[in-house]
This record gives sequence, C-alpha cells and structure tokens, in this order.
Amino acid sequence: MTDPFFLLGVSRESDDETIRKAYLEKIRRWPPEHYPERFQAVAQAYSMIQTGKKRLSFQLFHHGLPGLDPLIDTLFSRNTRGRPTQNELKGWLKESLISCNMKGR
Amino acid sequence: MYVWQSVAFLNQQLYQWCFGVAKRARKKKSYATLPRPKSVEGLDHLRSGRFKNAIESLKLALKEEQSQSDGLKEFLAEAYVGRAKELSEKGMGKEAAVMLEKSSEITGKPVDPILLFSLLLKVGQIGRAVHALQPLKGNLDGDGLLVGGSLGEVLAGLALTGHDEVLALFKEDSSFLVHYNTARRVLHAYDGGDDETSLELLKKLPIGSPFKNFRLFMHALVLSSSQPENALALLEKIKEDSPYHPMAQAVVIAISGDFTDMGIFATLASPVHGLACRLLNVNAGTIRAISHIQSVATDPDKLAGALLKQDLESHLPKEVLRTLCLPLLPSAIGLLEKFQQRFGPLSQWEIYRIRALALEGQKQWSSAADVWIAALKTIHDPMTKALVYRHLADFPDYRDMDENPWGMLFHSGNRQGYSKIDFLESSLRHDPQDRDTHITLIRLHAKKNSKDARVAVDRAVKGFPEDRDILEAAMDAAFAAKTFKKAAAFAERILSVNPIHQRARRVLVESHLAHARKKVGEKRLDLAHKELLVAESLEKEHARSGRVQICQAMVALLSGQKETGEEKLSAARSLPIGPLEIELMIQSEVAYLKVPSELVVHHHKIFKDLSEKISPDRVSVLSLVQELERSFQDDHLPVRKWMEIMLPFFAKAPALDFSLEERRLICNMLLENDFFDILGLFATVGKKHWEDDGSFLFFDLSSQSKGNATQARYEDLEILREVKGSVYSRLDARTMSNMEKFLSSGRLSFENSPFEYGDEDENDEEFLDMDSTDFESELGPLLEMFQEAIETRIADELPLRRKLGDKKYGERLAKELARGLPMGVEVFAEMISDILADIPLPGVGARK
Repeated sequence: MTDPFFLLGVSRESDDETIRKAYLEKIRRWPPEHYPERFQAVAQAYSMIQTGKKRLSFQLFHHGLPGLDPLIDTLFSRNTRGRPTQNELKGWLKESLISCNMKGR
Repeated sequence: MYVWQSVAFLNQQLYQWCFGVAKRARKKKSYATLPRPKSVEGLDHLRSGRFKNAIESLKLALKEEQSQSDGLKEFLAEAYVGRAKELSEKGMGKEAAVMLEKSSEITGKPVDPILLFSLLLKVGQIGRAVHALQPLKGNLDGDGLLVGGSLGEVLAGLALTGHDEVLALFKEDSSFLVHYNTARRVLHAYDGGDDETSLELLKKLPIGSPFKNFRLFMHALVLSSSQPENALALLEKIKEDSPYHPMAQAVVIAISGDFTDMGIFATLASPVHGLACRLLNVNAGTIRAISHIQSVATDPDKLAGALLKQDLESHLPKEVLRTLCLPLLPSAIGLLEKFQQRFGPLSQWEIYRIRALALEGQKQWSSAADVWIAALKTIHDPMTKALVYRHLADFPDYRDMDENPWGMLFHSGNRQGYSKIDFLESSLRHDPQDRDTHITLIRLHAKKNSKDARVAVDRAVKGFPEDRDILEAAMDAAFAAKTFKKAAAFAERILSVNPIHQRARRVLVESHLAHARKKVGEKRLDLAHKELLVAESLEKEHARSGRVQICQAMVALLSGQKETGEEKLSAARSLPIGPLEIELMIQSEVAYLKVPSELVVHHHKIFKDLSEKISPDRVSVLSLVQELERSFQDDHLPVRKWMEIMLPFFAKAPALDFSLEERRLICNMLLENDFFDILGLFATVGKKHWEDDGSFLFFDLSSQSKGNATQARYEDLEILREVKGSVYSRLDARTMSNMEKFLSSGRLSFENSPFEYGDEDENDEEFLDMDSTDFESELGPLLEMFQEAIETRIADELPLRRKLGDKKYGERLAKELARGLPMGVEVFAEMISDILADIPLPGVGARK
C-alpha cells in the first residue's frame, strides 16, 4: 500500500490543516474526471491520516510493503528539469549514429 | 552495377548452376561413391550463410573447374561481400573492407562506396567511412542519393558532430551545406538558452532535407518543458530507423514522467541513457538504485535488505530510506538488528510494537497480545494506549469470546482470558471520547444481555447526548432489554431530529404495544385500548405490520366485542403481508395475551390449514423465520408447537432460491431449535449450491448426528475442523459459534475418538445419570486427554509465567480451563499444580 504521507507529500509530524491543504492541492492537480485512479488514491490517503488519531493509528499498526510511486514522484519532480549542452547532444548523436543500422541510401 | 545489387540475380542463377553441376556429377557416378565437387560444396556453404567456408571451397573450385570460372567468380565475389558484412558485425571494419576490395578485384567492378561506408561506420571508423564515399564526391546532392534514405541523415549527423570531412563531399553551393549551417546555428542558440531563435531557425530546414529528423528532434526538445504534449507528437514522427530515434525515446521517457516501472529505462539504447538522466536531472546511479528497489518491491525481506544497503544513501535521503524500511520490519523481523545498526537504536516501545505486529502476521494472536500488553507498560501516552487496546479488541481470538466461552477452551489463542469487552473498556478509560467504542460496547453488552448494557448506554448518552448513532444503539439496547419506556424515550429523541426514522418509529409503536400487553395482563383493557390507539396513530398507513391490529382484535375479543375483534383481524389479514405470517402473529398474540382458546379456536384451524396448503416463497419464508426468531426469545410462547404445525410449509421451502446468508440464517434457526430433519433438507441444497462453503457441510453433519457431535464419526469431525480453519473468514459469527459449540462438545466425548478411553460398553444413560462424585471419578480418561495439551501450553507460556512471577499463573490457568466446562476449577488446579512441579520456572532459584 502506498504510504499516505508520501502520497500527499507531507511529513509525519504535519497537522490537520497542513494535510488538508496538501490534499486539496493534490486533487486540484489530479481531478477525478482526468485522473480517476490517482484521485481515488489521494482521497483514500487523506481519509487515512485526516485526524491526529488516524495518523497515530496508521503509524502504530501499519506495516507491510510500501508503495514506491510517491518516492519516485518526489525524486523526479523535486528536481528542475535539466537542459543538455550542445556538446552533450553531439556526443549522444555520434553514439547513435555509430549504433544505427543504416538502411538503403 | 555494384556487387551488392547483383545479389538477387545471382541467387536466381545459383540454383540453375547447382542443378547443372549435380546433374553432371550424377551422370558419372552416384553421390555415395564419389566425393562432392568443391563447387557444389562451396555453393552449399554460400546458401547456408557460411561465407568463410564458401570462400575456401569456391577458391579451390576455381582451380579445379576452369571451365566454370565465370560463374564461380560471381559466387566467390558474393561470398566475400557476405563475409565483409559478417566481419563488420563483429567490429572488424578493416578486415571487412579488405573483403569488399577482394570482391571488387574478382568482379572487376568498383566497391560499393555506400556499403563500405556503412560497414566502416558501424565499427566506428568514421574517417575511413567518409573517405570511402570519395567516389561520390560532388554528386551526393545531385543524383538524389540523399533523398528518402538514411545516408543523408547519417552524413548530416556526422557533419553536426564535428566531422568536417563530410562537408568536403558536397559542392560549395549545395543545399546540404546551407542546411548544415542552419542546423549548427540552431544548436548554438539552444546551447545559449535562446529557444525563440532556435525555433525560428528550425523553420528554415525543409521537410525534404537530410536534417528533417534533426529539426523534429530539436523542436521537441525545445518544447519538452513548456508544451510536453506537442513535443511528444513531434517525437512520434521520428521513425525507428533514424539515428535520432533512440534520442527521441529518451526524451519521451523524460517527458512522460511515469516511473512506476523504472525498467522503462532499460528499454533505452545505452548511449542515450545519459540524455534521459540529464533531462530528469538525476544521475544514472540513482536510476539503477531505484530500478533495483522496484525489482524487489513485492518481497518484504528483499526490499528491506535493499533499502538497508549503505550505497543507497548517495541517491536517497537517509530519512526516506528509514521511513520506507520501518513498516517492513514486522515482515522481515530478522533485519531488526541490521536496521538499528544502520539507522540508530529503536526505543523499547518500537521494538515491542514491531515484534507484536510480526506475531500478528504469523497469526499468533495470543503471543502478540502478550507483547502488546508488555509494550503498554513502556509508554505513557493515553491515546496510544487507547488505540492499542482497541487494536487488541479486534483480534479474531477475542471477537466472539464474550458469546462463546466453550469455543475459547479449545481455541488456539486467547489463553490469557482476555475479552473484547475488557479491551474496549480499557481503551475508553484512556480515550473516553471515542464514540465508536461507546457504540460497540453498547451493542456487545446488549448482545450479552448484560446488566452492564445500562451503564454503557448511560455513559455514552451522557457523553454524546445528540449523537444519532449513539441514540440508535441506546434505543436498540433498551429495546432488547425490554425496557420499553427507555427505548421509547430514545426513539422520541431520534424522531425529534429525524421524523422519518423508520426504526425509531417502529420501536415507539412496539413500546406502546408492549405497554398495552402489560395492561391486558393487569386486566385493564380500557387502558390497553388507549395505548393501542396511540400505537395505531404512530404507524403510517403504508407501513402497518398488522401487530397493532391483531392486538386490538384480541383486546376486543377479551372485552366481549367479538364482532369488532373479527373485523380487526380481517383488517390485519388484508394487509400486504404473507398470510401465514399474519396467522403466526395471531397465534403469537393469543399466546402472549392468554386469550381463552374457545374465542380463537377457528383461527387456530386457519393457521393449521394454511401451513399445509400454502406454497412457500422466499419472502414469506424469511419473514416467518424472523418472526420465529423473535418468538424463540420468549420462553413462555409455544414456538416449538407452532413450528411443528408449520413443518409442511417449511418442508416445501428448501429448493427455493435463497442467498448464501439467508440459507445460513434459516439453517442456524433450525439448528438452534433442534429441527434436524428440515435442517438436513436445507443443508443438502446449500451444499450443492455452495460446494466450497463449509457451513452447509456443518449443518448437514449436525442434522445427521442430531446436533450431537458424539454421534458423528471422528473422520467427519476432522473434516469439519479443517473446513472451519480454511473458510474462517467466509462464515458468519453465528455459524462459527454454532460450529465451535458442536466441535467442542465432540472433543468432550470418548465415543467418536480414535483413541480408546475406558470401557467401550459404557452405557450413555448411566454416564449421564451419574452424580457429581461419580462424574469426577470418571474424568480420568478425559483429563488424560487434556494432560498433554496443558503440559505443552505451560511449557509454551514460560515467559508469561515469568511475567506473572508464577504466583497466580496456575490459579488463573485453572480458572480459564474450567470456564464453560462441567468440572470444577479444583480438578484443573490439581493437575496444573502437578505439571508445574514437573516443569519448574527456569531461573527461579536465581531470582530468589
């Protein structure tokens, strides 16, 4: 199961309001009409950690396989996208040229 | 004509020529006696793609068969070309070139420069490759060589990557050079971050240019962050044979951003991994690390092992790794030490928590409960304590204990005598505001018919006076306890908030009905009449149950108003309710109000006649079962008699289409009231419909053994035990409880055991007639049966004994074992005392 804290992008010490804000932000980003599965996952995650008691309960008794998707999302979206240099592009193009199978003329 | 272009023609010739040689050979002698000519051998090799062998054979054949030299030379040249390609694949560009030159020497035709170019390019000899195109110098633009093929694109790419010798192949005024200069400016602008100029310049590269795919790729790259969808559409246009295709794929992966399977990176050609990583701003090591984590993500042990590796820290923050790893520990308890070495020591509480969850995972509920209870001593937070107690109350071992002490005796877990109610009460002490726990406790106490229900109701209503769920639970509990006034008060409070609450209205009606009955009992028929009028006014026209009308009829009959009474009964019979159900309600009311039989004799006949004549349907059967269940709770009503009258009706019902739950309900009602014959009919149909459901196997066995497990065969009981274990979660609590009772009674018997206990001729009646002293004297074999199990258990519970200081352990265990059994605590206490003497507590001496 995906860790709801990861999914909503909040720390384990967050309060109700922070979690609510994170939830609203996520459902704005993944509206149900375009991303039904993501939306459902976010709603489920929110219901699991909505209150202090629920959060404590989750931390006490939740165990098992964590979902890695939010971790990956965090890892990739945290960084700004890179921009290759001219020389890098030339290098990759050269490698591609050598490994390509030239067909016909 | 170049060599490679003649291949098709030569292939055609090959068969004809081969056929001729073979024919000539056959004319002389058979194949079996003569060696095969080298030419035939060589052609065989050529056909099979063994070019090296073909070259050797054909060279020899040329020496042997001078007359065929022209044809053979063609084949030898073909073999050289094939060998050249083979060598090129192996990265032996120079050797490949030599082979092509030899082919050219034999045929006297020049080497195909483009073929040579492609072979040398493949082995990375770019300078030589470009040099091979010298024969085409100045003509590459002119004769359309660069249009529609990949040569132009490759040359364009080489030029862009700094191989200026390519430029020398083109005339100074060629369009190639114009486009090349534009492309260079595009790269330069992109490098400087000037996307606008890049896009403007790209427009100058026409679609027919060798720089076409460069244009698509660069356009997509520029748009990748601002307009990813447009970028993806452009990248889709780059075909698979283009050198830009692998790079396009890398950009697609970076734009799509779906890394649920990092294996997607493995689909990229290795040279362009760097491009994807660069765009995503991650290093290749991180990609590899996450790919590895993903590959073991379904195995807790392996995943925890992977997350605990030191080298991951350079890619992922330590805190993230710890958070991911911690919930895995209960499933990978062996890594607890390693986890602490890696991330620092855990608190005593955390270690207990992880161990308890690990035991839960192994379904060792009893041990898990011990660990949780030990853990509670290490913390002070009341909410945590409340949650742990609530968690314990949900353990399967404690779910039904309050209703089924017999089942507990032989249950694998719950040996400590804990109960769900105890745990929930403890949780409320630490968190008195948990309304769900209040509701659960009210329901549990009400189900047990316990006096504590009143306390639970008062406590909950005081804490949550406006809470509808609490009021509903309180109303139900009061109604079940037959405190109708209280139930009515709760019902009125619910109706004041929600006037259309059906159940509250029904409770209110039933309360007035109950009051009216009480007045009839006190012979105050006028007051009863008034109560019934109120009850009638509360009932909505469309929701009449008929009960009020029937009660009104009885009051009228008792008051000597026979005509009014019969009218009321007719009114009740005209309601849209099953006819037999109405008759049963009439019988029920007659019995309840003790109406003299002479007043209702013909109604009794109607009931009997209908039971025989009427055909059952699903709804009427279920309504009757519901009515009977209600009546069975009242010991004063002759329900068994009614049931016997209705047997013909029920006997026709087993084949009806009931759901699994409905059939179970009927079977449980029949079982609990010993209607074994009808039970057998319902169980047989159930067994056919739900072959995998163990409940009907149980009902069938109960029917055959008349509910007495001592009459069942030992093998059947064993099957039932297995079934119970395997379908636990699919059975309802009532069936489980009945099954437990049945199996437990079977365990107390010697009759069906495969082991021999005492005299086989022992008379059952004699056994049952024994007084308590005789009974205890006969306990020997039975206790012997327990002895071994109790010894094992005591040995298992050494930690618990230690925890309890061994002082009250024996006493507590004896009490637990005696619970629900006919023998007294002393019997077990003595046996336990003996066993404890034989298995002393280790370290007791040291403790002293």
